[in-house]
Amino acid sequence: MATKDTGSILSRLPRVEAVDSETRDGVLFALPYLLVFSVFLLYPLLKGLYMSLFDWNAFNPAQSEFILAENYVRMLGDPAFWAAVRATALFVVLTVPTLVGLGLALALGVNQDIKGKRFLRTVFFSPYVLTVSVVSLIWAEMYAPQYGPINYYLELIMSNPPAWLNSFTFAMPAVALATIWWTVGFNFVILLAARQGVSERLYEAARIDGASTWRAFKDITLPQMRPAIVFVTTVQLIASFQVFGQVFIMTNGGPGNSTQTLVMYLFRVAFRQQEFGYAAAIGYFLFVVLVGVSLINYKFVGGSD
Amino acid sequence: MSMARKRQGVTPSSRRKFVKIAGAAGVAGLAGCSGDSGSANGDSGGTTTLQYWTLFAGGDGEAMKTLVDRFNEEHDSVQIERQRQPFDEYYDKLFTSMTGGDAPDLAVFHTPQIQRFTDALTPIGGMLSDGAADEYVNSIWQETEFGGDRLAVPLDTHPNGLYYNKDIFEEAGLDPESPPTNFEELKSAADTITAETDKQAFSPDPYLRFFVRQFIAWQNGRGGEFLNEDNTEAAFGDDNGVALAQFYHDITNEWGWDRADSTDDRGTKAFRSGDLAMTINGTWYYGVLEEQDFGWGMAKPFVAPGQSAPQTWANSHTLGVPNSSSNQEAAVEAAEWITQNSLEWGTEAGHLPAAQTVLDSDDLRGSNVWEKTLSTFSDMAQNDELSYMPSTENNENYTRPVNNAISQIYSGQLDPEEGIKQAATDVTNNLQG
Repeated sequence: MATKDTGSILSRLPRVEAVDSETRDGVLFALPYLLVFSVFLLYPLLKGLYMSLFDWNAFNPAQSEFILAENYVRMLGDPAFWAAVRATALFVVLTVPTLVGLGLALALGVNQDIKGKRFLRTVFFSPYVLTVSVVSLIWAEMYAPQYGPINYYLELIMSNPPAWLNSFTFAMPAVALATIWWTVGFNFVILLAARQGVSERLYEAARIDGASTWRAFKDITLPQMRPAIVFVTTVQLIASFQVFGQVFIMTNGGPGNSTQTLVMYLFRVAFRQQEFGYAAAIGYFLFVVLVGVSLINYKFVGGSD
Repeated sequence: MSMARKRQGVTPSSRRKFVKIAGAAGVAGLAGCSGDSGSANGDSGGTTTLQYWTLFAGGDGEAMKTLVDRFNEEHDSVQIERQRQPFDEYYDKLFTSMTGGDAPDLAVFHTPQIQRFTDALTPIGGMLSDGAADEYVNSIWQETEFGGDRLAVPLDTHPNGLYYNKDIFEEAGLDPESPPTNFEELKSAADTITAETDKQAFSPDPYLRFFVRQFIAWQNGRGGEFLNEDNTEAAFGDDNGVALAQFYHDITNEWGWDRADSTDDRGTKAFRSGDLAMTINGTWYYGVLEEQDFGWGMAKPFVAPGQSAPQTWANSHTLGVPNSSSNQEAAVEAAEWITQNSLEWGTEAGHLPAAQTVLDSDDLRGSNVWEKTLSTFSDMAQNDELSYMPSTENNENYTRPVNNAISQIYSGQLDPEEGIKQAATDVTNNLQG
C-alpha cells in the first residue's frame, strides 16, 4: 500500500514539474505580446471607457467630473454626431462593395491565362504601399480645380468642371475613389491567393457536366472563396468605418461638414474642443458598431468556421 | 490532440501565476507610460536650454531664426532650442504636449488661442522685469491679458490689408497708385478688371478657409456686432451680416470677380502667379510678395459695403510659458528679450512690432517694409481700426460655422441669407452648449 502510494506520488512529480515549465515557457512566449497588448490596447480601451463617463479635464485629470452616461446622452442628441454617422455610412457604402467586388474581379481576371499577368499583379497592388498622406496629397492635386490634371482635361470638353473636393455632391465620392485606387490592391492579393487555392479539378468536373461559366462562378468560385471574401469584407468594413486620414487631408471635413466622418469628428472633439470624455464616448459608439457589424458579417455571411 | 495538451497544461495554479506575472508586467508598462519628465530638464553644466516651439514658416520662420540666433549669441547661461511645428497642426500638438506634461518651456500663441490654454499657462506678471508694461504698445498689451492674469507677452500685431497687383491694374487701364478705398471704388475697379482682362479681380480671402477673419472686421465696420457683449450669443445674423453674406455671394455668383469655388488656397496661388488682381491678407504677405516679379501695393481693406466705422482684422503673436516648464524664470526672460529685440520681425517678416521702442525706431521707419505696408498698418492701429477675434473657451465654436457658411455661399452652394442665419444659430448653440 504504502509503497504503491509513494510510487504514484513519485511518478506524478515529474509530470507536475513538466506542467509548470510548460506554463512558464508559455507565459514567456506570450509576455512580449501581452505587454504590448496591455499597454497599447487593453489599457487605452479601459481608460477610454472610464473617460467617457467623465467631463474630462485634459490639463488636470484629477479635476474631472463624473457624469455617468451624460456624454452618451449628449451624443444621441448631437446633430453634428449624426451628420458624422451619415457621412461615415455614405463612405462605407461607396467604398466597401466596390473594393470587394473590384478586388474580386481583378483577382479573377489576373487568374486567367493572360499575357502580362505578373506586371498587372504589381500594378494593381503597388498603390497600397503608399501612405495615406501621400495618396491624399496626390489626389488632392489631381482634383484641384484650376491647376489639377482632371479639370485641365475636362475643361477641353466642358466649360465649368466641378470643384470636386469642394462640392457637396462630389466631395465624398471623390475621396472614395481615391481610397478605392489606394486599397483595392490589398483585397486583390488576398482574393487572388484564395482563388488560386480553389482546386482546378472542381472546374474540370463542372465543365464535363456542362456547367456554364456563370454556374461555375456561382457554385464553385464563390462558395470556395467564401472565407476569404468574408475576411476581406470584414477588414474593409472596419477600415472604412474608421476613415480619417483621407478626409482630414483632402477635405478637412468640408464642404460644410459633408465629409466629416466619425473618427474625424472624434478627433476634432478631442483635440480642438478639448472634450476628451465626449470624444471617448464617440469612440465607444464606433467600437460597438464595428464589433456588431463584424459579428453580423461572420454570422450571416461567414457560414461555417 | 494539441488542444487537449494545452488544456491539460493550464491548471488553476498555473493560471493564477500567469495572471500575476501578466499583471506585474502590465503595471510596469503603465508606470513607464506616466514618465518622469522632471528628469529631462534643460540644465546641463550651468547652461539652461529652453525648448521653444513656433509655427513660423517662410519669411516668418527666417526672421524668428535671426532673433533666436542673436539671443543665443548674446547669452551664455541660457540657450534657446527652436522647434518649428507645422502651422495647421501647431495647436493640436501643443495641446497634446501640454496634457502629456511634456510641453516646451516657451511657445508662440495667437491671442485668441490663449484662453483655451489658460489652465496650462503660467501667470508671468511677477517674473517680468520692472516696468515691462510700458515697453509695449498699450493696445496690444491689453489684448494679451486674461482675467487679470498676464499669461503672455506680445510679439506683434498683424492686421489685414488689401493687396493688389499693379501690373493688372495697368493692364485694365486703372491707376496703379489709386487702389480702391471703399466699396464703390472696389466695384468700379473690379468690374473694369473683369471686363478688360482675363484675370480674376478680387478674392476676400486668398486661402478661402479663413473667411471669418475679415467678416468679423467688416461686420464691426458696418456698426454691427459679431458676438454679443459677453460672447454668449452670435450677433451677426442681423441685417449687417446678411448684407455681407450677399456681398460674398455676389463676388463670385453675380459679378464674376472670382470663380465660385472655395478650394483651399486657390486665391493665394492665383495671386502669386499673377492671375488675381486684389485680395485681403495679413502683414506676412509682404515677405511672400517681395519675391514675386510683378508690382504690388497695399491699402486699407475697407472695401465691403456699408463701412461707416471701418475696421480690419488683426491678431497678435505672443509668447507664453507652459506651467510644466522647469525653467520658467529663464523662459520669461527669453520671451521679454525676443519681443523687445524684434526689429527683424518687422523689417524681414513684415509684422507690426509690439515693442514701443522697436516700433518707433529709425531702423524700422526707414525700412522698405515701412514704406510698402507697415506705415499703413501702423496708421490703422493708431486710429483704433483693428478688430481682434473674440476670445472664447474654444474659438472653433464660431470660426468653423462661419468659415463653412461663407465658403459655401462663396461657391454658390448655399443661399446667403439662409446660410449666414443658420451659421449664427449654430454659433449660439456652440457657445451655450
